Amino acid sequence: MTAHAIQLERVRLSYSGKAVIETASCTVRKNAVTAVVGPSGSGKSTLLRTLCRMNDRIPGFQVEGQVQVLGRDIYDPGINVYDLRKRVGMVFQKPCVFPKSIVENVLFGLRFHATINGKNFSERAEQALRDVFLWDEVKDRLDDPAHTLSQGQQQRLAMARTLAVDPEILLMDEPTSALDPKSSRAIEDLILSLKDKHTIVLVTHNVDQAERVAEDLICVDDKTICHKPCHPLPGEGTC
Amino acid sequence: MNRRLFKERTLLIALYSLTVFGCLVLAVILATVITRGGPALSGTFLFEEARNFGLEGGILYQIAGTLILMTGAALVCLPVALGSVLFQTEFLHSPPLKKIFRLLIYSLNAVPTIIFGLIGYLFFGVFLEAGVSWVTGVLILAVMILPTLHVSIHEAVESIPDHYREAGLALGLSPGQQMRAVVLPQSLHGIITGTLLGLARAAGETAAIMFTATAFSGVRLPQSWTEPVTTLQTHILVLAQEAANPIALTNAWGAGLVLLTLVFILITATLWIRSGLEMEAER
Amino acid sequence: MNTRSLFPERGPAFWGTGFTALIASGTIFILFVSLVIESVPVFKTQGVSFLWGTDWFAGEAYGALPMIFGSLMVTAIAVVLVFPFALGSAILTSEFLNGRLRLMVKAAMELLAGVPGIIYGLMGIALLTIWVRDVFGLIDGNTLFTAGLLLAVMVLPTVMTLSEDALRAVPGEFRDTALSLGLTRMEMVLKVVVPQALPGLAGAVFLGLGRAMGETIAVMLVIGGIDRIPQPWFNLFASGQSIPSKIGREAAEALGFDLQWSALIALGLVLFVMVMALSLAGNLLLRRAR
Repeated sequence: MTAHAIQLERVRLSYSGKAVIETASCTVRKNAVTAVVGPSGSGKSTLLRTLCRMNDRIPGFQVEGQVQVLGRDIYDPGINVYDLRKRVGMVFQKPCVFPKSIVENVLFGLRFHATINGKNFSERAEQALRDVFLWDEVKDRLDDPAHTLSQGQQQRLAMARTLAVDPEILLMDEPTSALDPKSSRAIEDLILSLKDKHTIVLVTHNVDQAERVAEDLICVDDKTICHKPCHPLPGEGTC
Repeated sequence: MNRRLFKERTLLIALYSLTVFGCLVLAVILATVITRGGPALSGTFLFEEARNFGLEGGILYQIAGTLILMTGAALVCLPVALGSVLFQTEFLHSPPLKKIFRLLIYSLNAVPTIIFGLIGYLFFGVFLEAGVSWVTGVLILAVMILPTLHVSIHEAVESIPDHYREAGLALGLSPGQQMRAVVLPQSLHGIITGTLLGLARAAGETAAIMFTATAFSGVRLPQSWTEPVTTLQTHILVLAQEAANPIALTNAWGAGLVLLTLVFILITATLWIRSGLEMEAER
Repeated sequence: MNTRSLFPERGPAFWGTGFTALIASGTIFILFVSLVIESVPVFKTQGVSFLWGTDWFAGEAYGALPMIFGSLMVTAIAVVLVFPFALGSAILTSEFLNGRLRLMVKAAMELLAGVPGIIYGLMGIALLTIWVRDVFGLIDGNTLFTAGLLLAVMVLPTVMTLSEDALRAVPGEFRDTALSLGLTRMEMVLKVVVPQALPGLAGAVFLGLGRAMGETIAVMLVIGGIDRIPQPWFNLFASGQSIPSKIGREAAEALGFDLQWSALIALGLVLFVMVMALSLAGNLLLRRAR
């Protein structure tokens, strides 16, 4: 097993021929928090979405080069993309909860993957909610509709839903940009607590936030990316 | 996992079959009308008048009647539709009133066409004393296609970018000047596609005109306001009821082919204009 | 609120467009009021029994029930038949097709929507009735089922196009979230997109029902034109009559002011109320979906 969770080699991303990322080569360490920073519109989100093939749905989107995630080229035709997305979870900018109860939201993804029985489902839901420090706030109203939660709680619920599937890598696309400062800090603490078990890639436009939570930094600018490890890694240059 | 992918494939194949079947209906209609109506078509069929109750001769005056009714309806309807759209977009500023106005137009669009025929006859035929005549038909169809034109023009006007309007307002244009200088030129495509769709709808309508505007035989071009016309639609209707007679049926298919061609030309033109606009918007 | 603030400028443009707007918005009321006024005579002579009378003999008795029944029946048949096709092709077009293919399906639907009713009627009388007769071993192919089948084809583009709009109105975030959790595309559609689009899909069906209920000419040619409720009532393969078909057949002979005309108008009123209810419900559901 390599120490790298993600490895990009000369990756070019384009929409109908127009390049969003001209060339990207970088690595992401296992069980660390890597922040992707850069000006808005620089292709950070596109890069992140590429890592779990969320861009497949967009007509005209093209990937060249090699995108290795968890040791496999994920754009290999033999890859099972649904299995990949189970192992590489993603949390989005705006908290997006389904019009169902809180507990059903947590279990939404799990129900499609797991072959466990009903009792274990509630255990898994509790564990996931505890992981995101939401359990104490919602344990008495698990069957309430999820949209009754605050924005910050909804975002943590979305993370619990992703964690319930038990992904190895967690991709986060500006998860705090729609939240107030207090909820943002709660999410940041949460990220720090998760890095023991998960590899986390966090896109953010907030450099302070990147410094607070991330060990490694990837800068995206002018269609290229450069690696700036905060703690220098052997064999890797800086720019 | 394999079971999931298998389910995915199976359902996708099912969706494709349902869609292909739906589109096949169009192909079947086209193929049927062309193969059955084709043999009837000839120079004499298109350019001679019907004789012997449609069993001999052609459909010259039926074509003329359909054209008269549909163009008449569009001409009457266009100013009304334009005016009501402009009132809605330029003068009606309160959201609830706008909503109600929209709902009224949508409701008018849902009214069964036969009801336009019934009440239209009362109004135009009896009160305006036009009787069973082409004028009654034109007016009834004009009311019937009003929502079609209205919705199409409204969409175009609503999609005019704000900076065009602001440019006009900044120059101190009155609402009337604003309409002429900014709104109308910018929504021309909606006016054209709406009119084409309205023409197609009027050309395809039978129920509203069959007892209010048309006569079956012995009719040529109307010489006065109160004369009926004969149309392709009603011609087919009468011939279809004699389905046991193969000649009647062939001539019905022939008239059907002409009518379908006319309607499809109009719709294809709107599709063509619209797709051209979409491509322009993408650039 | 005073009217001045609603309409600040009142030039000729205001009055001109206002007049046309009055025509456009007032027509629906004129239609309704005229239907009510003109149907008064038949309700006066027959009372409300007009609605549930089962006999219709011009000049003697006017009972609307067979026509109301026939209308409901053919509409129900149409919607049951069309729904799988409309929903299936809407899902495929909205969720799985891109670019040119999607445009082609939409163009086909638009052309299909434009096929004149009389062409459907001709196809019905010359082909469908015979086909239904032979396939189901009937003596006469002019049945409620034939009319329903024809209507299903006629409202396919309406229901399909509106359903597709409803599906596309579901925000992309829900799709992204579902996919990011490892759902397959079909699971995403069935568990996330369709449930969210449900009000819009219901609206599409309601508007389709309204369209089917008001269709005259094609139904008139294949329904059989017999004013009776089939025995037993659920026998779809019997001839029947729908409201628009009845009006279409008798309007020419009744044109004028006697009781038969009033009875036809009253039928029109019943139809109008039913269709308006469906259309209103459909439009409100569609609005909620957006």
